[in-house]
Amino acid sequence: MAKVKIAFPTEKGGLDDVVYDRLGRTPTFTIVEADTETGEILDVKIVKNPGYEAGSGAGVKAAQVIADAGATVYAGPNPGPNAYAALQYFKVKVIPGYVGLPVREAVKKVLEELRKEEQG
Amino acid sequence: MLDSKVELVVASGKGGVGKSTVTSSLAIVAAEHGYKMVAADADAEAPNLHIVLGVASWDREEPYYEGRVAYILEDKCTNCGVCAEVCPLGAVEEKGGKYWINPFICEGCITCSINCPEHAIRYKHRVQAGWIRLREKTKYGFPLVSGEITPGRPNSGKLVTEVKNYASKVLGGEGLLLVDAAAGIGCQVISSLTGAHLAVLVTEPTPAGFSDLQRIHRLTKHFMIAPMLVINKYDINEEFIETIEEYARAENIPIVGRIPYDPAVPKSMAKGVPVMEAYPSSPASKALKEVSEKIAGEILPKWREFRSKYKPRKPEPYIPLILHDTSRG
Amino acid sequence: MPPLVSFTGGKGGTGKSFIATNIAYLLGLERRHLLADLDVEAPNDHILLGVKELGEKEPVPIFFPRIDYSKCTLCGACAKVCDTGAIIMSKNRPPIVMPRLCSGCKACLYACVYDAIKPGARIIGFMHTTPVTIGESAFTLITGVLHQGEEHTAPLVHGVKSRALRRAREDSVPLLVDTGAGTGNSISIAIQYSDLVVAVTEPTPLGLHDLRAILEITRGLGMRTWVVLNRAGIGDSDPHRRLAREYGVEHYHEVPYAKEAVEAYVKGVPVVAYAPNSRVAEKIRELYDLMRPIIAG
Repeated sequence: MAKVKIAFPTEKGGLDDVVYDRLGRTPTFTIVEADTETGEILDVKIVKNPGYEAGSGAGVKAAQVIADAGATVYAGPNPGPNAYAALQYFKVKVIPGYVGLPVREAVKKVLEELRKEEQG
Repeated sequence: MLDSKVELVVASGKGGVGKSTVTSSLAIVAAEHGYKMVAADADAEAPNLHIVLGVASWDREEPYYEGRVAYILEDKCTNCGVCAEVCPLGAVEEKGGKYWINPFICEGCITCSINCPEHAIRYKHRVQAGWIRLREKTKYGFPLVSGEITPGRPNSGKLVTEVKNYASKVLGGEGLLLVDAAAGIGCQVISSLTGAHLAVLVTEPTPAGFSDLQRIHRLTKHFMIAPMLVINKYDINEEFIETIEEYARAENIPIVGRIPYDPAVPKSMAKGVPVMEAYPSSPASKALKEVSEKIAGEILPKWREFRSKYKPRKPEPYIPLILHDTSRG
Repeated sequence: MPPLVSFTGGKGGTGKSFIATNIAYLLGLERRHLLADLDVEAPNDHILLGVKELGEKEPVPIFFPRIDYSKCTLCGACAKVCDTGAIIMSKNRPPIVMPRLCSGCKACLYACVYDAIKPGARIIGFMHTTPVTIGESAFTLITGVLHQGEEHTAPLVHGVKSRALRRAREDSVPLLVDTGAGTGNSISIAIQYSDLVVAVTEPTPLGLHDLRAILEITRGLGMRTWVVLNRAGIGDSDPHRRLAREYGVEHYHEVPYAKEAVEAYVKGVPVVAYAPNSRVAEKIRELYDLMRPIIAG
């Protein structure tokens, strides 16, 4: 079974919350672990984002939290230049979009996107 | 009129090219068109939208707290002076052998406290770093949210976030969120841009203006924001206009307005009145009205189409870091 | 400490460089001195003084961490103490530094207990030293220029100001400082140790707003402050006069708007030299005479 951990920026967090419209200062991240073949959701964690409190460098701190949580995919609004570079360094794949969608739905779409790329 | 929240940011890189003039004109015209809207002044180092829009008093003023400032515990301090040596900004001042940390300089890094042999340095947390102010109804009908940094405090991206979040809350759902972006480069500008759907980039035809335009445009590409260009004081340098227009063509940025240099603008700013009101038949006023009508009357009602047409194809690859030896990973 | 007078004014365009360069010219008629232009994002004193080319330049470095990966244990302390988020690392990736976010505070250097961070440097800008001669007036202009793309002005302002202070002390000459626009901590650094702060404003609502911000800083620091209202006549200056009184400012001075000032700007000559008999030149000389006991030491 192939698994993947996807990080979504969220306000309160959880599968029923919607994808937030910013990365650096999103209050939380919802980390969803899913089976890439069946799409089954195996685990859901909500982590606080230290970037939320940061005066500066929020995007980078947020990228750090995503990497620390073990996510290999980030899905949400486009990261800024510094956050983008940090995510690249941490080898986290960036799939932009899904703002406003419930996380549960976004997970399905992201898995689809990943499958398409693999077959690509 | 708008079935969801649409965020339009007016940005320019360095200040002084006429950003606030464009934002205030656009806000007034959008209000005339009947949009449900909120204006947000995210230029916290030098907020001046409220001055042009004739806001003389606020309905709500909330202090904004951020960061920390170091201070020395006098009874533990032995006046060794190590803190003064290591402070990267020279914030530790000495007078008659005694040391004091200047709170208007200190940014709260931990260097002095880590080096103090007596552990005599503490931090005051949640320092007041600014204000967030609300005027529920300007004389044009819409609310204005304005952020300001306390003099002496460093710039803050978080304050900009708070201003925009507050403005979104006041807007409450669908409508236009019009943001006057922070000037400069760095966190406060990045924070002004995230979440925006459309950007009005304001530039002037000078070498400095052009390089600022390129920089701010690159940032909008990162956030997949659909840009449009306004060239201010366009007649001060006819030769440079070519360069700017060529860049706009190559980058697929529609030019929505050209404002001539006009002494009526600084004159009206000195009075604290929008130029379209103070000198309605002056050349700049006419041009500003035209641009604002175009944006409020043509572009905004069909903003989704505008976005599909002018949004960047894909995010700009931009690696601002130096890669060190990565043999460990 | 040599006598130090700084000129500041909030948002750009109020005329603090105009006042600073004219005072520098007048002082230069009497004695050698230093004028430091700390408007590091867009210095323009040299333009007002008609300097064709800035003089000798010296790079201004600030601390930048160099990571010794043979000693690094991936403990993460450096990333944790970094306030600006310039150091990033994760479980599988060693720490790296993002130069544009690093403000040179050295917290990482002191936080690493494995001696894996060594002091390095990176250049954030330049300091130019230019001898200025206008007629009988002679002095030295120091100009700080921040590298394009650098976000933090404070470290460069501190670097150039320290060098200017050292030089003024060594040569035993007075130091004049033109602080640059804004009201952030770069301004506080620029006016540090001033015997007198001259807050330049203009009779507009924006000018009033920025004047209040500057006076908040100087009052908070207990610094001797004067207010100069530049371009008097183009608008209502009563609020500014009242504000100055409210803050207990020692002296309030008005300098009129004059087309001679605009002409002098275009020519690149201080107006007191270009049009010495004009009213505006007279008022500036008056201001200088009041300042002499403080500056000329």
